[in-house]
Amino acid sequence: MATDDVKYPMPWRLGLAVLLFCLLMFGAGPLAKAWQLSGNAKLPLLIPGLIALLWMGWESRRYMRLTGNATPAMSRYLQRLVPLWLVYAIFLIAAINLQRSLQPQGVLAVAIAILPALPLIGFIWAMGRLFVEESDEYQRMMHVRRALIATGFMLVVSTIWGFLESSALVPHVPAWSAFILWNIGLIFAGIVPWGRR
Amino acid sequence: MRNRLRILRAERDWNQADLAAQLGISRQSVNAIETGKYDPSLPLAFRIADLFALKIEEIFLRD
Repeated sequence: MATDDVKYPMPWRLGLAVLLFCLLMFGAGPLAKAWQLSGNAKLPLLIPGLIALLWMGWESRRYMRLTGNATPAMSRYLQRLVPLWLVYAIFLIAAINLQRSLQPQGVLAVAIAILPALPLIGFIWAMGRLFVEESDEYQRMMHVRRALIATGFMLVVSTIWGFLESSALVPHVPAWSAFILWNIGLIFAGIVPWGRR
Repeated sequence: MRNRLRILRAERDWNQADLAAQLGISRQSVNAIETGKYDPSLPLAFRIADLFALKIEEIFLRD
């Protein structure tokens, strides 16, 4: 029996998983401060976030299968994201501990400081591989469109924030926040209608 | 660009997943082409034409 036009449901469960992951990961720091945890005692706070990450990966695959969107390249992309997040958590903790214990100087200080940036650069590499490996031309166009929406979102927010910061109306934000903004932009692009079709 | 993909598919009693599998693309892509949201590249248009044993202009029509 031939099917007609398919309406795709909103990915509410996936959205909830992403929200939970963001809240748990970015909320771990303030929570550790509130509970006055220090050093490795903070590590168990990351476990709920990592469980949310696995749920997020599961929901992403489930939604892709539901929408007939599960290409091999997209599956590989998701398989690359999970270890990158784990490596990021490990490198971040390692960098904080090494900075405290070694009080490094010079080149070593630079190397330790950029350690957590490496898996984040890996995310950009994974996105690049997705563009290259995606053999479904419509899906490739959608990936590129979402990346452009995310880039636009990041540029708009960071430009406005920068001028507000110059006028001392908002606090200073580290430059790596641009990467978080880009990822939020990718989530935003996956929800808005012009990023879903 | 308009197309007759849905009619041709229905004539063969294929669903979107059947057509997607034969073309090696996702069901979402078939849906996007059928509904006119996406115009396929020339190589994909040729693959579609070959599958239905028709000329491209017998499937894809000018607006």
